[in-house]
Amino acid sequence: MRKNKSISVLIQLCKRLLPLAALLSLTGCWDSDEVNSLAIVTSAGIDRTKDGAIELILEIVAPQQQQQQSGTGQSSGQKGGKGTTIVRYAIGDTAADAQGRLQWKLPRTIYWGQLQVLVVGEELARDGFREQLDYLVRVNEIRLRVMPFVTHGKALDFFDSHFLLEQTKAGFLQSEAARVFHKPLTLSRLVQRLSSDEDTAVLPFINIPEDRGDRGGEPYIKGYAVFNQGRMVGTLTGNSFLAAKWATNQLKNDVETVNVGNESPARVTYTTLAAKSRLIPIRKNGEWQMNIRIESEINMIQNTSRLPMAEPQNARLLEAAAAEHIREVVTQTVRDTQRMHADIFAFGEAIKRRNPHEWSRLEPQWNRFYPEMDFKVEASVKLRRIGMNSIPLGRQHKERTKP
Amino acid sequence: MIWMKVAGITVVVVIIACFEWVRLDIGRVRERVVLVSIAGLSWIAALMAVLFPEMPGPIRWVEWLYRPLSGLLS
Amino acid sequence: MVDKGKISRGQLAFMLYSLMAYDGLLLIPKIAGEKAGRDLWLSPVWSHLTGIMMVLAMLRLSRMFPEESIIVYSKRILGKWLGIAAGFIFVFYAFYLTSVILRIYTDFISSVFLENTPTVVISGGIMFLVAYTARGGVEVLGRLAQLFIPATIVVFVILSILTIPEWELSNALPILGKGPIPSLKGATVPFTWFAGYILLGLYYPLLSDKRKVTLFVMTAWFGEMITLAASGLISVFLFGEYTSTLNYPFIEVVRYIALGEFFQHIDALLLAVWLPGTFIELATYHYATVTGIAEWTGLKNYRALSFTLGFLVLVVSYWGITSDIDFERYLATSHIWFDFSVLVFGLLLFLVAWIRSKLGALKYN
Repeated sequence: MRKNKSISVLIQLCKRLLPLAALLSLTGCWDSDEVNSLAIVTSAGIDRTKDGAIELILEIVAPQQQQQQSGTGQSSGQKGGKGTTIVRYAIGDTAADAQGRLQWKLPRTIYWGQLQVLVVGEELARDGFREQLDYLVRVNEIRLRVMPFVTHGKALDFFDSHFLLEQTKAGFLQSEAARVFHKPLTLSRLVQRLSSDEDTAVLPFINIPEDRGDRGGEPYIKGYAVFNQGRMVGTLTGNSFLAAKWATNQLKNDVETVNVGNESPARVTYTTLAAKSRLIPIRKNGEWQMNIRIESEINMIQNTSRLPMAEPQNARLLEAAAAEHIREVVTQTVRDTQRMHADIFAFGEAIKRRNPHEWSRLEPQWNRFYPEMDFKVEASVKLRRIGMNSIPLGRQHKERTKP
Repeated sequence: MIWMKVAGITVVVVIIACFEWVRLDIGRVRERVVLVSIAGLSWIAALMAVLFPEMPGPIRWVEWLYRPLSGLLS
Repeated sequence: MVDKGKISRGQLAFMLYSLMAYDGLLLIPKIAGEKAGRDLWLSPVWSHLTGIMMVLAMLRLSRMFPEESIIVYSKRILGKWLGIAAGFIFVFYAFYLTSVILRIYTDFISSVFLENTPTVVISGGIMFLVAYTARGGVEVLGRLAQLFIPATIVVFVILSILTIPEWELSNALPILGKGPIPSLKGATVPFTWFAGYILLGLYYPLLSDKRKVTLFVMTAWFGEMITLAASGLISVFLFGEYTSTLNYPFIEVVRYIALGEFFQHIDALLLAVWLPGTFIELATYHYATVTGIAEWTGLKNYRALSFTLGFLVLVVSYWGITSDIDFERYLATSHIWFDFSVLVFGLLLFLVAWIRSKLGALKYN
């Protein structure tokens, strides 16, 4: 080694100082994001204005202590100082453009990482919002876990509506979706469906009560918005919504009522404990036919008929009635979607899985083929529980044993 | 600005070269030649990359070399 | 060998594993998915089943000259001048791949995590560490691999398990719906990556124990296959055919994880897998460049070259390619052929050596 003392001393000194140099790299100055310099977005809404521009609405988390003094901003949605978010919106040519304009007005940087919910206004949905979705899947902070919804009327109306049970709109919609669906739909599923061969999708459809008084009630998930070729073509509500949930394995705690027997009070109400549906494509005389096989287990919660369900033959009656009910509503709903030309149950996907070669032949004309397609619904129902009471109330035991 | 970059590159190359030069044992002529030539090469390369950003670099050369073949796939 | 250090067989296996696993984890689901659709997870299986010939050829070749590196024995095989040329090809490959991987690393980090940071800070930072490691010698590199890689594998397995609640198994069906052709097409890119196994020619002589090396190397080979197939399969389970549209599918997979309200946003854990893994990968290539050049030019001491070459690698990774799109394009077209020609070069070297040894024309030491 070179015996140069001053240099080796210098090198020794440098070595000692090296750990300190490592500290410099800890600052991470370029991409540093302090929490109190961010506007954390929890839910976003996009909508179309009358002249075709895009309106972007953001719900931003507001720190608690500021909220208590400042009250509500010009478009903030909460009342009574309970909420912890504020709502801001801007209008631009595209969603990204609107975001840029919104950023001008906000003193903090918009942070998308906590986005949980996306609300699309009905008008934009009918016009096609795929182009605006592009922005959301492109931003590197947004996860594909975001839950998309379509709202009745304008998206801003949803953000203006008030509800007291949840603190944020995002929290409200999340818990609503978790209540209604078995496995809530996410952006990932939506973009998969939109880029699939059938190009159809369903999104939860939120209803906003017209009456905004205190008794007007909260917004709730009313049904499905049906999309075909990227545009919303209709909705499935009421029984159709239930049927669509049956067929897509999304059923959760739904209450239904059927008539059992012929005597006058004959209504029996039950909830569904478990349901499983399968699509089985078969070929019949060279044409494809779809069998929708639904199996479910139900729990009777009210019995207004005179028939004690503890008796197996009566239970069979209820099961048959429930199966018939399912068959009816599902058939009707599939007919509805055929009328909308929207293959929301992924019949095409089922055929593709069964016979990929055949599908490549069928695919180009699928849009014409689907509305004409034959299908059959097979439902089988098992009565699992009848609650805490064995015979209908008010019907005495002796009456039952009378000849 | 561009002179700042040139100066920066020069400083980095000189520091690296000197650092290694000092640590080599006495008499390693061959090592010193290779060290200085690679340092010189990377200095020139860095200057090229900074002064003429549009000039194709090695990745472009390789791309050009294999471009006739790239149509064969897909 | 210019380095007197030794590594164990397990350390070698970890280093070989890093050559493909980490970049593959990130890029293969997308690259293979463009051709293979929902069969993209099968592509790594095909590529590994065919790529095994390169692994075996390089092992066999190394076993013929157990104490010499590929730079030295290619002169024995091909004669002096051709041997020197072969040495140059090897050195250039190792050097060039370091640049390419550095570029992949920089693009990924800057587009997903550190958008505003100057890219030179990202690439310069890791390159400094890589050069420092290579300067420390093969023992340092081997121990770092032994330290980091098992941890990254554990995290990867945990991340994979956490995605299970989100699996949509039917997304993977129909398997081989359009026949095996699409997934075979998707296998071309991971297949050409087997060129990386040419580094065995440099690391084999450094092994302290040369018995049963095949077993260890095959374990690395198998581990790579499982990692790539699993990452592909999970991506398909979550995103179906949409996987190939995503630029970095696996980061979206990790982002998708949510257990309850509190356990989500764990994308940083993917960095805990990816960063140390890529670091080892870069260091393995860079060390091969440094010692390769040292042997090629006949030096006794390779350490002086590490930082200078590291700087050159950094420059090359930027030079002339300004946009990520051009680079992605290059990776998907010309780079395949570059890797492929190196792979052919390795196989040719083995064939010539094998034929000459059968003819008895090869002198062993």
